[in-house]
Amino acid sequence: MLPLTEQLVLGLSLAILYGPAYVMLDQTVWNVVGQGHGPVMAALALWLAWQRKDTYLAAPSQQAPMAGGLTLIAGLLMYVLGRSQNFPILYVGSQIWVLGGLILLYKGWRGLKIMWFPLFFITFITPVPGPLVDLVTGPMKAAVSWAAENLMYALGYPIGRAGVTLTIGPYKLLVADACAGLNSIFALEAIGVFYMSVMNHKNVWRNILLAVLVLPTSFLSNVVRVITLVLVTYYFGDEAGQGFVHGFAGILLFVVATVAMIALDALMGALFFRNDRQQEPHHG
Amino acid sequence: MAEPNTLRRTLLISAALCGSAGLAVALTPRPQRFMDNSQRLADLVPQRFGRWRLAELAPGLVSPDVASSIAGLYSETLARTYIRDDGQMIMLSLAYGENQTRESQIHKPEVCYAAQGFAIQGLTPESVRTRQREIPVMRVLANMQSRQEPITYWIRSGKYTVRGWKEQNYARLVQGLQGVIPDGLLVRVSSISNDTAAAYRLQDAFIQDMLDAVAPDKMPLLLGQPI
Repeated sequence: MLPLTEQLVLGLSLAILYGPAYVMLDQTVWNVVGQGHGPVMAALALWLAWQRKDTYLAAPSQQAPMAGGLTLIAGLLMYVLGRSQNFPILYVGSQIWVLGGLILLYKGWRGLKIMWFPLFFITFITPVPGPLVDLVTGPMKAAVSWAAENLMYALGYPIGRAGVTLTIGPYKLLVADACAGLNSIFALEAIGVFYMSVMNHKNVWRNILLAVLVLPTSFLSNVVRVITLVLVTYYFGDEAGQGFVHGFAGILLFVVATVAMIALDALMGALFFRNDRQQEPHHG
Repeated sequence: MAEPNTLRRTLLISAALCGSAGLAVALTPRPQRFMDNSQRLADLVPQRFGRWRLAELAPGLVSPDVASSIAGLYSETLARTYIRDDGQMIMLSLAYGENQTRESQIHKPEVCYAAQGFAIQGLTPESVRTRQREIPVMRVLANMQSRQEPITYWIRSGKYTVRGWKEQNYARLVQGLQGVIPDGLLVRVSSISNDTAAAYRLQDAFIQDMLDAVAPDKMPLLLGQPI
């Protein structure tokens, strides 16, 4: 194990390097409605690393200075470009490379093999660039508004829609990005991946299917969310509706999505994967 | 079981990490504005020029949440409707943003119209030849139900005139690497018409008349060089 002073020096350097990144995330990205899951993802990544700590420390070290050095340099270049030119995806994402490089330098490939999953999980802390969000959000927004409108119309509510604006009674609601965003898909995907890692299914197809099913799950829970929002606005007024958006709606989304995911997984398990007995999770 | 040389290596790595943090801070661009606080968009383009004058119209209704998101994005916006002596009408919209970072950069009309539920039916980069210079513009055809709105726009980003996301982001990156966060001005000219070709001709004529009437010292606020 590394001497304490060196641990401190490295820890302090990493804090200098990435402390400002988390301050930036906390002040900007994580404040946006629909992005509040960021800190949870960071905590999950830390927890995943902590779980693997003993295995990591016990593994023999076979340093890979060449690969480690190159990975670290690539990571630091991403960092400098990302931080100075304001690319949060590079700024935050460079952590994967920098930390991966350090692991290679100090522990070698064996260490990387143990820590790959927490490193991969950093992806879910990394902010997605706006154009990419718009690309996925646009059709999703339209589809969610369409589904919500038709469902409520069938139920006899006085609802109308022009583009992505819903009209209910005297109220007008814009289906904002946060309501249908990639942000929530991304967060749900993260929860899905986390769920998969905890369940530790052996069958590859079951895992792939589960990861793909995140999309319809996200769509469904967004429809539930928008309809709830419309109903709250209709019965209790605009103010109640807006309060709902910023408070409870996000939580509802995740509860619906998580329950739907667990239900889907259980259903798949019962129907298709009867032979895939679950392993005991290898940690915890 | 620390090897004798680990301390040296750790210090070296630590220096690389801290050095990168310092380098990133040193390379961070700073805002540079072409328009200062004393200048108003309302003074940029006269209320009356050539055959054009301001039309007396009830102000358009903007829902409060849209208005607040506009206020967050732009330092100043101006929306005017001009009417020509032959009755032709043109909507002019100017939006100034003092720093064109990614989050706060000017929204392109093809994106905001689509976000409001318009269908974007045409998106063509063209250039408008005026007596002053050739202006790279984007022609956008937006449509909602029976409302057909041909739009001509350009964005001045720092010292460049750009249109579309590629040029807008390219201009931001190039100037960012030069250490500058540019300011930006959206100039959007549109009319409601089913005859798209005629609408664009009218808009070109309006742009020409407008540029003729803008004071030369204010020109760099409106127009940059092509990128």
